[in-house]
Amino acid sequence: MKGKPHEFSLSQECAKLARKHFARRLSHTWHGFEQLEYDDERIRPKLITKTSLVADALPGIAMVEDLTLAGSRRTVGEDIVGTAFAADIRGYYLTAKHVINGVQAGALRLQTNFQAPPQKGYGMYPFSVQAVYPHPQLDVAVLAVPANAAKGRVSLPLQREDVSVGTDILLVGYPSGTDLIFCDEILGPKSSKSFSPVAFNGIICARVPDDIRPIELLVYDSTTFGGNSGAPVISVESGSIVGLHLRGLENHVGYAVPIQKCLAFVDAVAEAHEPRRQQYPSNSEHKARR
Amino acid sequence: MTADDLSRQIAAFLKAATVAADQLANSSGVPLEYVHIEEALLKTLELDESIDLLSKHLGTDEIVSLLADFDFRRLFPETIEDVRLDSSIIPSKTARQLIEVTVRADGEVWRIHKNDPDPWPSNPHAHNLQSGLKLHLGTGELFRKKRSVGKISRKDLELIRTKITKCQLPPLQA
Repeated sequence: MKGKPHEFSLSQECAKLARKHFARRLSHTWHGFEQLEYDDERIRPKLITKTSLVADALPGIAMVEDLTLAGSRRTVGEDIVGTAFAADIRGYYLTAKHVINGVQAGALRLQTNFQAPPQKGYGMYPFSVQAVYPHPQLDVAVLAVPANAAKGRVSLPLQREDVSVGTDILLVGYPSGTDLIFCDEILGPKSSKSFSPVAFNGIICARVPDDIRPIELLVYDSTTFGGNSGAPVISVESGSIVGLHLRGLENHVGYAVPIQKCLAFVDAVAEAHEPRRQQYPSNSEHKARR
Repeated sequence: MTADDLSRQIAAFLKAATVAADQLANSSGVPLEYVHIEEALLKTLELDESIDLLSKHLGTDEIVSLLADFDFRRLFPETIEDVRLDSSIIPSKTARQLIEVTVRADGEVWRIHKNDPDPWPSNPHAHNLQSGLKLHLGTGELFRKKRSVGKISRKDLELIRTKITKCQLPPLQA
C-alpha cells in the first residue's frame, strides 16, 4: 500500500489480501475502504451507482429531432420528437418506430448533449441520419448514422438475458413534453432554454403481453413524458440496457420492449446497410450541405 | 413461427429490399431507401401491416418487378403548410394511441401536403403529427388509417379552415 496514512489500522498484508479478494464487496459495504489507493487501476473497485450509470449512458443517448417542424422561431430543442440510443459501434441507434413514422431520413437529426470519451463533458453534438429501418413487427426502428457518430458512445451493454420483475431501473431521455426541458416560463421568454436530459427511476413491476403484437412488454412504475419514446431502460443492478421505452402515462406506468428482441434486428440492419454506407455523405459533409 | 425463423425472414427481406432500393433508385432517379420500398410494397400489394410482407418471401428481382411502374414521387409529398393551434381541437374522448412522440409541448400541429399520396378522406386533408390522425377538412371527421374515430366541433373545423391559406379547401359539409 502506498501513499498517505489511513485512518484505520489495516496492515500492509491485510490490505493486499483485501484488495485481491474482497475489494469489490468491501467497497460497497465499508465506506472507509474507498480511501485505499491501488497500485493496479484494473482492480480498483467501481461502485455502480445511479449517478455513474447515467453519466456512462449519456454520451450514447440522443434527442431525435424532426427538422421539418422548425418554425420561423427555430428554437433549440423545439423539434424533439423522441429519444434514441447507440446500439452498435458501427453506427446504429435504436428508437421507437412511431417516433420516426412518416419522416424522411434527411429530415431527421440526432443530437446529444454529451461528448464521448475520452473528452467527455457538455456540448451539443448533432449528427445526421443516413437511413431509417423500421422493424416489420415491433414498434422499433434502427437509425443508421455516420460510423464515427457512434464511436465511444456504446457505453452500456445491451442485455441478452431476460430481466426479472423487481429489477431497479433508470429511464434516461429527452422528454420535451415537460417543463424540465423548457424553462422559459420561469426565466422569461427570451431566456436561454434548458434541455437537460431527464432521468426517471422505478422498478420493473410486471411483464405483460402487448395488445397487438406477440411479445411480452416490460412494465415499470415510472412516470414518463412525450419525447421519452425510444429511451433506454437501464438495469441498475447489471448496468446494462434491458429495454426500449415505447409508451406510458404521466404519473403512471411505462412500457418497453425487451432489448434482446431488438438485437437480431440491429445485426440484420447492419448487414444490409454496411455495403451501402459509402454512398452516404459523412457527418461533416452533411453539415456543410445544410 | 419461432423467433429465430422470424429473425431470418426479416434479415432476408431487409437485404432484398435494400438491394432493390438501389436498383429502383437508379431506374427511377428518386433517392430510395429500404423504408420507401416497404411503403411502396404495402400500397402495391394492398397490405395493412409490414409483417405481412415477410410471408410473401419476396426476393430482390420480385420486388423490382412488382414496383417497376410505381410512382415513387408519391412517397415524397411536399408540405403546403403547417397549421399550429394553441390548444388541441381533438375531442378528449377520441381514442388516441398511447404513444409518446411529441411534436410540440405547447400546442398541436396539423400538416397539409401537396400531391398527397393518399388523397383520402378529403382532398386536401390535414395530418395531425402528434396523434397520427387525419382530418376531413369538409366534414371535420377524424380518421385513423381508414377507420373513423370521431369528429371535431363545427367551430374548431371553421377555425382550422381559416388558418389554411395556401390551398383550396373542399366545400364545407353539413
